Amino acid sequence: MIPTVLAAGLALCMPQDPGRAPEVDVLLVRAARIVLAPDQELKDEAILVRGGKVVAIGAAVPRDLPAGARRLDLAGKTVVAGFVDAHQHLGQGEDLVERADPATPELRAADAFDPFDPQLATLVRGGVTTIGFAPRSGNVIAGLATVLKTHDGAVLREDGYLKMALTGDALDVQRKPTSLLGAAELVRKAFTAARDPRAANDPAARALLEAATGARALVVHVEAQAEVHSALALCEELQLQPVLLGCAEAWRMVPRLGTLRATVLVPPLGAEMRAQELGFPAALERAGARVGFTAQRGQRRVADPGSLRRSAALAVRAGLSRKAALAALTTVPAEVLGMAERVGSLQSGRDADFLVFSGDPLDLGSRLESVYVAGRALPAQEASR
Amino acid sequence: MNRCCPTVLILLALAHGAAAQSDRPALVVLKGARIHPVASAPIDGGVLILAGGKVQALGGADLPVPEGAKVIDCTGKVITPGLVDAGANVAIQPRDRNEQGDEVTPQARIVDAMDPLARSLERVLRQGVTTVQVNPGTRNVIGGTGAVLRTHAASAAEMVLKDKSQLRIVLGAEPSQGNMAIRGGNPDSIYYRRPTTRMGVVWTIRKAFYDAQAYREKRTIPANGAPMPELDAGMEVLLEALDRKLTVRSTARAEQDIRTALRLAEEFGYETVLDESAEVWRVIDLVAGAKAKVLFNLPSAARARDGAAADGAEVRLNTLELLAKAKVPFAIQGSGAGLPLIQEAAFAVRQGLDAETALAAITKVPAEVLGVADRVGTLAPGRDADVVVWSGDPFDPATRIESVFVQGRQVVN
Repeated sequence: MIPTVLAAGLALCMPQDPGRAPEVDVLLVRAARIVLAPDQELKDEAILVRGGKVVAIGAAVPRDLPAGARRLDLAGKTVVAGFVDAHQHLGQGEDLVERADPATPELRAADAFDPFDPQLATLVRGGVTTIGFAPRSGNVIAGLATVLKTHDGAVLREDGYLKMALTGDALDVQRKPTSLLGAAELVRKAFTAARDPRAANDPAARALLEAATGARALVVHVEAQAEVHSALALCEELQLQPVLLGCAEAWRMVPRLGTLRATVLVPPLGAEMRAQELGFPAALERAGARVGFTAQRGQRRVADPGSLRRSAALAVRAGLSRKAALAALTTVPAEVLGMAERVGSLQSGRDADFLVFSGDPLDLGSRLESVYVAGRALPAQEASR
Repeated sequence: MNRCCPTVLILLALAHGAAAQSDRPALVVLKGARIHPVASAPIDGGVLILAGGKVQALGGADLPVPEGAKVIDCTGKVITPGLVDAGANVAIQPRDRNEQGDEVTPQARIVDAMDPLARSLERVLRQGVTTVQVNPGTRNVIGGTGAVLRTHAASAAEMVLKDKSQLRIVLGAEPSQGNMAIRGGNPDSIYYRRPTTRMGVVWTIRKAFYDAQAYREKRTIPANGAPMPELDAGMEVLLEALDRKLTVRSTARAEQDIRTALRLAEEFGYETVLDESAEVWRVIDLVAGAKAKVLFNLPSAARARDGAAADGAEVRLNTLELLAKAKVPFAIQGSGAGLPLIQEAAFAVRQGLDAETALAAITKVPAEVLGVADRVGTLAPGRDADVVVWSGDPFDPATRIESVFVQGRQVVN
């Protein structure tokens, strides 16, 4: 499957006819509904794509198109930005944790990236066009995530957010630290040392310091109430602004997360879950926090991109606004990745990565009909969800 | 799980700052009850005035009731301070009681692992316990610092009444139990380490304090060209203990371990309280002479185990009476497991302890041991308005809790 995608991608990058001057790569997309951003939609209007970027939207699209411009008429369809999943391990579970040391902020997930990972094709066919490829939660300070495009594996940012974990996976009974006590001390020590000017040239210290100053995001994996509290208290003490990942048991901490205006990355929801779990995203929104969805479930299992829409639909059923649900699939994870100016929405100047649905993407009866990356469609059989 | 008790609802409501403010009654008067201030003689048909989260005044029936107060008739009831448990088994997951990466972790702080919304906190609150000490566990020789928590507060930060209240040191066989002397199995395991014996445990303690003394010397006296050692959080904690700014909680069950705990305290000059000291009845005079205070674990639990405590220590049910006779201050502790704290004290009364001393053992004495006696443990003007209203004599098994106030808010009804 992957070679097909790569071949298709390569073919698309080449000029159509080497004998002639390259045509202007212009695409006009007209659809019944174009979701430019969660709070901005076009009805029966168009966007203009040139050179793989959105260049004009709605009324700003010029009437006269250059010769050779392609037209895509999607009557009755809905167009949304390609989904973004900020926390993905692809199929690389084992290579994404350096367990010999519980603190490895200098490590980069990019160095475990396999461009032939079959999971890339699964994701792009499922509508996930950009991911944060993250170290696993086996270390307290796990390392740096990498921002990737799934259709060709292009790296947008090699040293993305800093991933940390206070979950059971990071607290091993056979290795330091074995408890939250030790993990908190380790984090405290690491960030304090990183702020020492003498450490300025140390890559590990730089990775931490940039997470502390906001030059990169900090994503902390927590599940139990004590872990969430520990992360929040520690981050307050160290003046860090964390994005929380997981929070399976944090439904009683929603008011506090709301007060902090926290961003929470929520793993796949399932219809079998309890009411407070299904209502967690909605409760976060009501309290003032922000939600992003991730398709990554657990450490070793490969992700099902279809779970993103399922999560969103279940959360909407439990009270999450449609706007927040769309944001949770696009703009929120894009912001966590520091890529909100490039992906996650279809504003002028952003990447023309978009999905064509037969109806509302939050309606599970709608079908994902095609996936466009940089203004080019994946071959028809590739989009299957 | 889904049975959401009123306490939970109140906790949730209080998590909102705004709600917390409006929820706090400006002025509450509890009128007509028999009041046990513990710090002073009981008052029959007394009046207790709570204002701004504090006890404003208390006295007999003639104490004037301020205007605009919410008056609650407590005729026939009994009022005590909120109970204080100097060693409760709450709010911490088993995994997080000790950092087992090292035997000596004085820098570990139990607040880093607390769950402010733990069900166990709500449970002991409903049993009348408004203040608890939570400690690192007993797997490490030097486990780290515990903290005094309220069992109810508007926010997680306000829940911590006093951080770093005690440094826990564990004697006896327990801290060495997980360690292995002979390599086999997984040779990289962190548990191939000292100590594996009582000798080793005590040396580990000595070595830690020797290291702290050497660390202080290096940090204060400029050595010839030697670089000053980095600030070490663990060493700083040990120095606080050596400087008697931090009390050492010496967990010592068997007689030999109690003797060792007192010996070490004298050798290094730190202040110590004896914890879980089941066999203290064998060394009452020694303990009285050392002016040590004793934290005694649930009397009923000892009975359930047929008189045997951890480390093979033998428990005698008249121990508390003996301590009282020898004027050794003691607290009864250990709720979160077994019976409610008040029933443990009642059990001691049944064994011959006088009721006044038993009540002090779950209020005033633990508050003093924990260094929070100016806030909780007694009812006097200026103390926190942590109050339990009982339907009758608290030590009568037929008595139930009518309401619990924490900082002037009625949190159990």
